[in-house]
Amino acid sequence: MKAIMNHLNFEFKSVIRDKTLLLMNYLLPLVFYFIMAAIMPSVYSDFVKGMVPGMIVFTIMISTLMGMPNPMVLNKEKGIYRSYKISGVPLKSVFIIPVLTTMLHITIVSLIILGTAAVFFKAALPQNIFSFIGVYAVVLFAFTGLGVLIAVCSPNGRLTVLLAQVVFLPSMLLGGVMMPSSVLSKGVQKAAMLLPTTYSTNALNAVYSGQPAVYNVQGSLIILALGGIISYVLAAYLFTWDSKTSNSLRNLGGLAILIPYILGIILL
Amino acid sequence: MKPIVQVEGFTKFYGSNKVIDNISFEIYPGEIFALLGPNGAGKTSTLECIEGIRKATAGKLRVSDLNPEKDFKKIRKRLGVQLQASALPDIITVEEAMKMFCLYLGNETRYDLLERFDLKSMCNTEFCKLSTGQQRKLILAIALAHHPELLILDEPTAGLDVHTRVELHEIMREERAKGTAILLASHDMSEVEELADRVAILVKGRIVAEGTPNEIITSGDSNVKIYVKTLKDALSDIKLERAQATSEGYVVFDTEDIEDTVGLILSHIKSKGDKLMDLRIERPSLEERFINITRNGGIQ
Repeated sequence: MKAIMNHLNFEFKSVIRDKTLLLMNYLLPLVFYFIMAAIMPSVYSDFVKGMVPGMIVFTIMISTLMGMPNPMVLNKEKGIYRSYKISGVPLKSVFIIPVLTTMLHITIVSLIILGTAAVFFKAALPQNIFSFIGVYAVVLFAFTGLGVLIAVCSPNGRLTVLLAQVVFLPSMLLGGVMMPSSVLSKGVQKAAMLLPTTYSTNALNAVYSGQPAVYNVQGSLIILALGGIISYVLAAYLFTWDSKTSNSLRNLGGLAILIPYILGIILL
Repeated sequence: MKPIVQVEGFTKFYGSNKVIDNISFEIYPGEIFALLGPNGAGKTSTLECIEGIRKATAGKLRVSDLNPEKDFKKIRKRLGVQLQASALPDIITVEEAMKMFCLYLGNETRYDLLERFDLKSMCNTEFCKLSTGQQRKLILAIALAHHPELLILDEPTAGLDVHTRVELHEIMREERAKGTAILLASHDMSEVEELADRVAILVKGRIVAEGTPNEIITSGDSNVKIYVKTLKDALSDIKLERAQATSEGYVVFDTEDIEDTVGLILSHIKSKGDKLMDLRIERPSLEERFINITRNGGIQ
């Protein structure tokens, strides 16, 4: 336990020391939030209502998809995980520590967003703080799982960015971060349900504002939780300690992560 | 004495490709055992199976009587490894790295080793800011932190400057003196000749020669060269079976039997009333012998 806590402490500090991780975990989400909060209300008057959940989902996305997988892939490519394995670092540390540190950094940024949105942009606070925390935890679980799965399935750094963008870019456009899902056409709404972002903004917006959701909130949470569980199980199954033993064909099994989201399209 | 490493009939396939073919060797405490071989000979695969990070296809592998594959957790505490591609996170500091791995293996942070490896003053330096030699030293210090019974070193001094190489050789000798068994894979023949107690040469997955460096050097048809310089030219008409050549004023004799040849040379010089100025005996190096052995795929 002492070893894991010490490792966690190192990984937590590494986000502050590493410029790229600092950018992905703090600077980008906060700068984007302040710019959006300053500009968007003049373009779209209701933006402030859904701003906090949207910006929190954006923070979660950028940290888990763009920030977390790349160092994990680099560790595999450079033989760092190999050194870890030989030196007695257990598999659980390789998974749990980056996930926990990413969760901690996201939570710090989310608290900054929550606090400043209320103070500077007159955004309302969550209607039910406990429901909000619960939904936030499920969203965090689903996205960290997806980030870990991308890291495990990706054979190199370049492909990691590409895989992350496959989720990130459509999420920004269709996932309800910039505008509510309700303004999208029915067909596009269905396509957007392949993205965890759609369920996340749907559930977070509902518990934040207390307004009716576009899709069933409980259903969204079940889909997200299922997505998280499948991601972690697949990641543990497909994980290899070094890139030499990684099998691209086997890694295609990672596509099974789509199952809960396809179920979402059918059931919600 | 009981061996630390026992390898018996070890075979390894990658798919249908046989990379190790039924090899056997043992390594004893306080011994440096070198595994030599050209690229692709199977050295790294052998090391990785002994480390327990790959599975053997057939045969018996034991480290301190433990099966590396099945008893991986127990073996980790008895094994120190410096891989060819050992790496640490760029931003981890020297102290953080030592502390992290010591804690995982249940030890106190080994500041004494950082001191011994001249890294104590660099405790707060990040791994990426260390020189290659310092990085290797840190990884070696970490590998030694839990007093391993077996130390596996894969190309430990490749690309290092002379001073660091000498320093690392000294550390290996110290560890050997403490009773640590060292399994060394290297392309550096002079290093192996200088350090190893026993050597195995791997070619295409098979051990084609095994013994002390001296045994390997003197095995086969490797002859000794005797360089002789006289005051006059007494040796110009010497009749010996072996080929003779002259080089920089020396007459060079190529022979298997040093005693006989030297005796003949000396009596010839005496009989001619000449005076011996210099006599030098040059054995073939391990490198020459290695090239001879591996040139034909290990067929001698």
